[in-house]
This record gives sequence, C-alpha cells and structure tokens, in this order.
Amino acid sequence: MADSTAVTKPILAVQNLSKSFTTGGPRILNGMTFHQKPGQFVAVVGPSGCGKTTLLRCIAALMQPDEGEVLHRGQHFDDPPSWLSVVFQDYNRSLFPWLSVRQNVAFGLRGVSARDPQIMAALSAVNLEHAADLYPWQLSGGMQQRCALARSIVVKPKLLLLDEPFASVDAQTRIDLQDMVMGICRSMQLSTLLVTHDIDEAVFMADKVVVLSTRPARVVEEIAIDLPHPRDQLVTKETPEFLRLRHHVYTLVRQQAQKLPRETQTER
Amino acid sequence: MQSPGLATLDPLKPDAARRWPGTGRSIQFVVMTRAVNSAKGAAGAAVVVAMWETVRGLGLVDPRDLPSTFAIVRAVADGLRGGELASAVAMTVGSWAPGLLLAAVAGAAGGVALALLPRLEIAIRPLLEFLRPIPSVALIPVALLVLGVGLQMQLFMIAFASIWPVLFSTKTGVEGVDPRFMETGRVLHLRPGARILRIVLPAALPAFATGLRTASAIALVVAITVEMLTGQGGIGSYIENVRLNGLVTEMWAAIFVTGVLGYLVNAVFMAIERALMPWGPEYRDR
Repeated sequence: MADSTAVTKPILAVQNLSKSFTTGGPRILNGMTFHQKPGQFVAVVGPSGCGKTTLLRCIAALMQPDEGEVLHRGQHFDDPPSWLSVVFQDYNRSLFPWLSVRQNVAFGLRGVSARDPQIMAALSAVNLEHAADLYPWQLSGGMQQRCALARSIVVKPKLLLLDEPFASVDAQTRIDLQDMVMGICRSMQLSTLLVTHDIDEAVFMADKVVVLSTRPARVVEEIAIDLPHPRDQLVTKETPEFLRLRHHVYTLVRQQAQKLPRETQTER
Repeated sequence: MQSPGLATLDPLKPDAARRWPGTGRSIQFVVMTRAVNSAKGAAGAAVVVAMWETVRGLGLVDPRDLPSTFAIVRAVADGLRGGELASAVAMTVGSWAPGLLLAAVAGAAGGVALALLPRLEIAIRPLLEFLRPIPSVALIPVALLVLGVGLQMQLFMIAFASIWPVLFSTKTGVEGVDPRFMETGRVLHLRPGARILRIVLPAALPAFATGLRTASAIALVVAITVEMLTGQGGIGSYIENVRLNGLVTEMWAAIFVTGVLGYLVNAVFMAIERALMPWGPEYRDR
C-alpha cells in the first residue's frame, strides 16, 4: 500500500457512533460523527456528564459501539491498537503501586528492561528522571500524572487519548502540564485527542474543538482553532482571536447545559 | 488518608536523605513513633504482670497453681537452656511451617481459581461453606483413623484449619482488583494471561499476605492442639507431660513460650509484608 494514502486518511474517524449502557436503554452517544487528521490536536468539550468518557472508551476500543463505527486509519479494532495510548484522569488508579516509576513506564514495552535508555528518555521528556526509582505513592499528583504520560509516550504512539488528564491536579500544576503535553505532542508529531470540560484548556491546546450536546451526546459544532504556535499561557490567552473562540465555544456549551432539564423532561 | 508529609515529598528537596526509606517520613518521626509505641506495649505488659502478682498476693488462686512471674521466666530460661523446651519448640515449628506452606499454596491457587472462574465458584461454593464451619479439632478423630499418628496427619490438620483465611482473602483480593488497572493493561496491549500474571497477582498480593498472617496463628493453635491430643512431641506434648507430672511452673513456662512464638510469627510476617509491599494501604502512611 502506498504511504501517501495513509497520510491523507484520517487517523481517527468516528462515524454515526451510538452507544447505550444497557441494550435498548437510553442512549449516551447518539449518531456522533467527526474526523481527526494525522498530527492534529482535537479537544472534545461538552457539558458535564454528557458522555465524554464513554466516547473516549469507544475510541480506545475498550468498548464497542452499538451502532456506527470507530475507524483508526480506516480500520476497525476490537482491542486497543498498538499505536494508541491512553492517559486516564485518575492516575492513582492506573499507575501500578507495586512498580517504581521506571518500572511503570517500562510496563507496556515488551522485552525491554526498566534500565533501557528509552525509559529515561521518556522520563526526561516529562522532567521526572530524578524520581525514576520512587514509587507512585511517594509522588505528588502532578508527578504521578507525568509518570502516566511518560508510560503512554514511551510506546511511541501515533494517537494519544487524554481523558481529563489534568482534572485532579491543582491550577498551577495544570498549567505546567498543559504546556508540557503540548510540547511533547508537537515534538513527537502526535495526533492527540483531549477530552476535557475546561473550555480555556480546549481552545488553548487544540487545533480543533469538537463541542458535544448534552445526553444523548452528538456533535454540535466543530470549531477550527487557528491560533499560531508556539502558544503561550499569557500571550495567546490575551489575543482577540483566543477570546473570540473562547466566547464562541463557551456559548455553545452553555446553551447545551441550559437545555439539560428540558430535554430530560421530554425524554420521560 | 494521604498524609501531607507524603504528598509534598520531592526527592530534590535537600532533606530527602533524612527520611526513613520507603515511607517519606523523617527518620526522627519514625524513630519517635516506634519508641512511643514500644513504651505503650511495655506498659500494657507491665499492667498484666502487676495484675498476675496481685491475684497471687491476695490468695485468690492457690499459689501452687499460679507461680510468680519471676519463677516462670526462670523456668523458661532453664527449659530453653536444658534443651527440652527448645527442642519441643523446634518440633512444633517443624510441623507448623510445612503445614502452613501447604495451606498457603493450596489456598492461593484455590482463591485465584475461584475468583477467576465464576462457574467453578458456583459449583464449589456449597462444599466450601459446608467444610468451613467444621471445627478442625472435630476432624482429629477422623484424621487419626485415616492417617494414623504422625507428621502426615498433623500436616493435614494444620493445612485444613489454616487454608480458609488464605483462600478467602486471596479470592476477595483477586475479585477486588481495580477494573481501571485491567483497562490500563488492555491499553498497554497485555494479553489476558499476562494481565493475570502482571496485574491481578501483584494487586492481590497484600490480601493474600493478610490471609496468610491470620492463617499462621491458626496453624500454630492447631499444631499445638494436635500435639496435646496425640502426644507426638512438640510444645503441646510438652505442656501435657509437665502437667501430668505436676510441674506447674514448667507448664506456665511452656504456655508463655507459645505466646512468644505466636507474637514472633506475627511480627515476622508483618515485617515481610512491609518490606515486600510498601505500597500496601496499611503501611503507606506509617
């Protein structure tokens, strides 16, 4: 197969995706469609509880949709493909407490020792070389999430899924992690899909923001974010373009959040 | 609860060297805490000794049945030095350890199998619930009939009695493995077999260890009980022999040694757990 076709194909295609928790039960995702180009940073935002995490689990192939499909470079997967990585929100439940930071990072690499230079390279990408021999429970929340990030990039993925990765850390750490993740994704030319409820974060980090409706979730609008790179927490966030985009996304999400009571009534 | 001392630990901080390994606590804090705890334990023991001597002094019990604590301690020293009590202890440990090992291996394998194979669990559950409440002592006559007097019978009794905490703790531990751990394993492309070996088993290890520690005490009780009933050597036989010969002080000395043995067994298991599983929720904040 020619390489050029692979490049033009979306790395991720979500097509008419629907999902319920129980068969025949109320839908969580309802006919959702969007595409992601290789190298693109996509942020998915929506009112809280709208099904963002369910969407991410379907995309990661941890869950199969009821209808529609998720295609990774045109292909369907029953299990997470090898070039896909996920960082979960609750790092304290996804880092293995019986393994050191170094061993946690090496966990997903088959036949690679924890002393391998690849591990240190991944740890230095997240500024965690000094903690390589500590255990996750000896680290602060931000350090634990950096460890989880190192584990997900050490396998050299093509697509990185981030499920509210900064939701459990303090504001300053959150900002540092945003810069760090953006830097890593750009330098590794990763395609990244960030699920977040933070509109500022979505607009600041992404090339495209996908706004979801309330449950059952569908795509309300896809907004291209053409802010120039490199982006700066102060400079970028003060530009009129950032403020305009933020205003636009915020309005959409708020409209959805306000619909919430009415829609649940009509559903009954 | 996460202790603030742990959450803020940064290895780059200059005081990182002055921390107790594996805890994140300062050495000063750990030493002080342990000293205070030891003092409290000693105070508790002192109260018991005082009560013992008071009961003796008041003549509530015939002083011949209740020798002084000093006499008991001297009898312990004599018994251990003379070799008779020491060899009885060695013999009890010699059947306790392999019996417990059998229970550990069978209990761990059974617990993992029951947790991972729900159909097996449904089929076997009634049998287990039937066997579990039978006091192991009640099985001694049967074991004597089938296996006769000897190490084999003793091992069977010890293993039968002490398998339950290992089996059920391990099962609960495996069943309680965080589903997010398993998902992480899938995302990191581990095959189902590797997920069991590299995620389920280590995650269930603390539960297994707790069960084993409970089992170690039960195994000791059963080992000594069987010895008392069959007279086949060990602390149990020793206690029976000195009692029959009216050596009350020696009897108390042997009982005291049994208590010390139980205490040491528990302490050793706790120390091993702490060293091998510093991540265990019980030790994290200490």
